[in-house]
Amino acid sequence: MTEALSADHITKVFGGLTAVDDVSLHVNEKELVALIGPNGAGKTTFFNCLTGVAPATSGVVKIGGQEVKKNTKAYKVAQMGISRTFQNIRLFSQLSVLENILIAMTNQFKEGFLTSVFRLPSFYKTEDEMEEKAIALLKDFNLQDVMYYPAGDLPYGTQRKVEIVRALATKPKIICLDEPAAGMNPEETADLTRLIKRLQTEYGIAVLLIEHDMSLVMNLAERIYVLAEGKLLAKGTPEEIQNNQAVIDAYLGGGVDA
Amino acid sequence: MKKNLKYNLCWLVLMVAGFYLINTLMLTGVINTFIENMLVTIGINIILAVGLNLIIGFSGQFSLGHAGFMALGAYATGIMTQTMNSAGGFYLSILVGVVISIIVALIVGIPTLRLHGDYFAIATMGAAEIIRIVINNMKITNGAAGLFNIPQFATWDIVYIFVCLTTIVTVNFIHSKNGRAVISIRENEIAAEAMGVNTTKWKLSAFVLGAATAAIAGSLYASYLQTIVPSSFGIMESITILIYAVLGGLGSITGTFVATILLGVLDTALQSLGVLRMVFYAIALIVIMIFRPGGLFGKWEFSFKHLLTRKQNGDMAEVEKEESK
Repeated sequence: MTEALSADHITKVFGGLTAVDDVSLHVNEKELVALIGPNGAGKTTFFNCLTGVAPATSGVVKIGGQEVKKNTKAYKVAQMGISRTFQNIRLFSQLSVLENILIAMTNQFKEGFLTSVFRLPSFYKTEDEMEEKAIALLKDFNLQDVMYYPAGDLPYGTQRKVEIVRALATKPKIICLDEPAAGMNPEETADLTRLIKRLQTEYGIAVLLIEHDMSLVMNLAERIYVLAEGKLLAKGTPEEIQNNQAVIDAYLGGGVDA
Repeated sequence: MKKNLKYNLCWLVLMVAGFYLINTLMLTGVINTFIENMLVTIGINIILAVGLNLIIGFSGQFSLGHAGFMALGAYATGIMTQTMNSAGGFYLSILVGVVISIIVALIVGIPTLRLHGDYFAIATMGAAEIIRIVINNMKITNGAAGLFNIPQFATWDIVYIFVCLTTIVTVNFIHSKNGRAVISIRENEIAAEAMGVNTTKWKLSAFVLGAATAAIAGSLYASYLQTIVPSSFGIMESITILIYAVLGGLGSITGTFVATILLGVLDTALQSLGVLRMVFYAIALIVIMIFRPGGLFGKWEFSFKHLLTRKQNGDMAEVEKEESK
């Protein structure tokens, strides 16, 4: 099986602090992997290394088998096939939901400066095609009723959903979700669980998930990596992780009498 | 394409009607030279403010150097038309001004656009000052005394046509895939980058397009007034343009038009009051900013499409939903 994403010996140092220390991880195609760990374990920093927002101090990231070269800008990394959502929602909040999706599709279509400025026939053709695709995607996730509303005016749960659909619209090989269930009620979480499952089954996209909601993680993830204090503490199937003494200690603050 | 033809025709009719309205008023003597002067000034200010609104209101980069790019266009025309005293020479000088302005915008923009907010504003302000000081100290520009007796090729109708052209180009740019990429940077730069939008490239495009239109405005200004001095392209000119854009609403081209016309008329109407004029002008600004902090129009845009579809079916959202089916 090919790998959608692999990270080899990633280390990230901020001044004197090693936030991520020699972490290796891989996600196979169409696989659902979770990354868990206590607060401050370096999960989000690790995400930022993968997506090029804060490049790793050392280590190699490969997306779909292609190596991400050093100092690649975040937008180039995104174009290689990795997409993400953010811990605190980052939608284009004054723009409509439809426009949010259209912006995510920017790189899949070509539209010259002159064609758009002089409104040549090909401009209308690409615009129509883009809009058609975006609307089809929104319909697929039952968001067609809100597509002309400003994204920032939607309820919290819907905003989360829009952010995931927007990530999907870039046609990535892998989507990284940073705490998608944060601040959601059980009903919304159940909805979200189904949505994430659909990314994998219907769209064939690999998912890497950071999450604190253990019911969601145990329900979805095929494999789990555990980070603690920047280091990889454990990896394995949900059952293995649930019974791993080191993980339990890290979460419950044990170790005094262990 | 056909569904948009109707709306595009509406705009065309509006532009032609505006032209003939002014033309008729001019022939019947309702518009005298005094009012004509006001109209041309308003037209030039519209070009400048629309360009600045693209940079500040749509790409979200706070530039304070618009007058510098205006100066480049003005001096290109001022210098070139003195030796090439023909309409052809005038248009060539506009083109040269635009090209110089684009080159300077690239030189200024590439290093400074990685700065954010206030820092970018200060950097562009500095760049505009450098342009002004260089002009102030060159022989070909006649230093601080400026250029005079510039042949007049820019009449009100030329200015009118250029207002229409630059606005069409800017608005069409905004309402396209590229324009959406530009707006996404204003909305959330980190998210835009995560969606694969090349933020540096699009910030620079908006900045360069704004600078190019400012150069056109500068050329028209030089050719219409026939006299230019470096001191008219200082920081106060940049601020004045900024006021038009902010007052109308950053992110609304409609607002820029209304604000520029309103302030232009107010400025002329108050001229009889002498020094007191600036007091009333300032009070008007303060009142507008208190009651409409987002500018007169916020981000609202006038659109024939919305107007016509609403009339037919009552609710806009309904119509668009219908269309999408």
